[in-house]
Amino acid sequence: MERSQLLRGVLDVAVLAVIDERDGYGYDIQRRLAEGGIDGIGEATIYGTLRRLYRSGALSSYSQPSDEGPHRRYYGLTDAGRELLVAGRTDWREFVEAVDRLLAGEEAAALSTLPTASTGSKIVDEAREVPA
Amino acid sequence: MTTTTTARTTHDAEGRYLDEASAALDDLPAGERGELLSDIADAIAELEERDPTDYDLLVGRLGRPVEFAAELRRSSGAPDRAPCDATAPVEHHPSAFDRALGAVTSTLRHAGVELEPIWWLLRGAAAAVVIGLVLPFGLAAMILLVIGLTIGSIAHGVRARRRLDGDGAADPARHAVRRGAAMAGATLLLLLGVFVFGIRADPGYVEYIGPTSTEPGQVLASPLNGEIRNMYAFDAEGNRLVDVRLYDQNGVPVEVGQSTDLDPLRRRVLDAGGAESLNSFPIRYLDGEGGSVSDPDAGWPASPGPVRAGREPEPADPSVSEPAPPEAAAAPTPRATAPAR
Repeated sequence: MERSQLLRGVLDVAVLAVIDERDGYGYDIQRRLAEGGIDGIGEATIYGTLRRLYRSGALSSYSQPSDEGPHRRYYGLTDAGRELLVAGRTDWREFVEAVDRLLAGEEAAALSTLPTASTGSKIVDEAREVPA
Repeated sequence: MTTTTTARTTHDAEGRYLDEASAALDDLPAGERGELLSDIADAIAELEERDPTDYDLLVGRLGRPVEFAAELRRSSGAPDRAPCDATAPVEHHPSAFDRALGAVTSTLRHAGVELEPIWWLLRGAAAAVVIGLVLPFGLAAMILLVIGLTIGSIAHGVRARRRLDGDGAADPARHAVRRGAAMAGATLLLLLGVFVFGIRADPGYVEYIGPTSTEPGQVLASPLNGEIRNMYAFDAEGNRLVDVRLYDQNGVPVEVGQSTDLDPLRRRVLDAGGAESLNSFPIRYLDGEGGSVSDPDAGWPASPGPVRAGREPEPADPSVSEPAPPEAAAAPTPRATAPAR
């Protein structure tokens, strides 16, 4: 599977995670993603993702003078962005676990995740409670 | 590269890149287009902060403006431009090779811009050399030709630089290679021409063109004198000599011009055997009616005056026996000529 397609699905969460660690600007975020193992993301994708997250309210933006050159546009997380990041982390873990199971090809692994005996009894009990 | 040149080149490069990207986003509302263009400007600014850049380097690093704009549009959630290629990859992200090639072509382009005036000089001089190799120009004419073509080449180059370089923008790599090859070719041609011209400019160099089916005579030529069409001789006292016959070191007549069959007004000189002599000088021409010499004084330079011996011979020492004179070298045996008519 082309890696870019995988990255497209997780890029939002990755960008939010990087910015959650510390506010950043376009090139800085791209560099920090690469240092974290997500390289090959082009400038257009980075800036476009930042723009979309900003428009959706997940990011705030401010300008900060740079010692070496022109002002830079920095992005920071808003409250909405933090909520999005939390939800994204959960979704990602669940997704990864599901994919791992599928890739392992173990139905037993899937069965192992079924409810235990205690939970099974509870279900039965609930079934008995079904009104006539 | 001066700071001013760097700033101008960078500004021009950014402007061009943004213009092309803007064209690719012109279907978007002005506000949204402005936001995306500001993002592109930020990306360019980051590159420029690290290194002075030009258009080729921007393309090598960011991709073509159209492609950058397309990916920026997609990743920002802006509507696709119709018709939309749904199978387009995420982004044309230049590979390491593309970046390296972009850096090389950018360096060549920088060097090319700086060396462009030298290229203009080379181009003009090379054109003059090519013409000089084909046509028998003398030294003065060649100098004028070089000056004229060089000035014309510089003027053309200045005008061309003022125009937008569309070829370079469309395919910077091919353009850089083409320009480099042209410059190398012109330089080699110029060196070849200088080498050949240098040989021909040797005062001792005289070119013989042997008789052909259409040009039975011989032609003497040198870059300094041009084609030799006649020769005038003076004796030691500075008096004119007529009907002087000349031979080279091998006894071969030094013939100039064409026979009277092809040059009927040439004064005909015959040797003892009745054959026409083409090595008798000065060549004189008859009047239109073919009667007498039209102008006996035509072409004669001023008399150089009497010659002076460079060194007086030392008186012989009677106490030393005089060595036997060496055998005379094989002297040319001139063909007898008939009396001039």
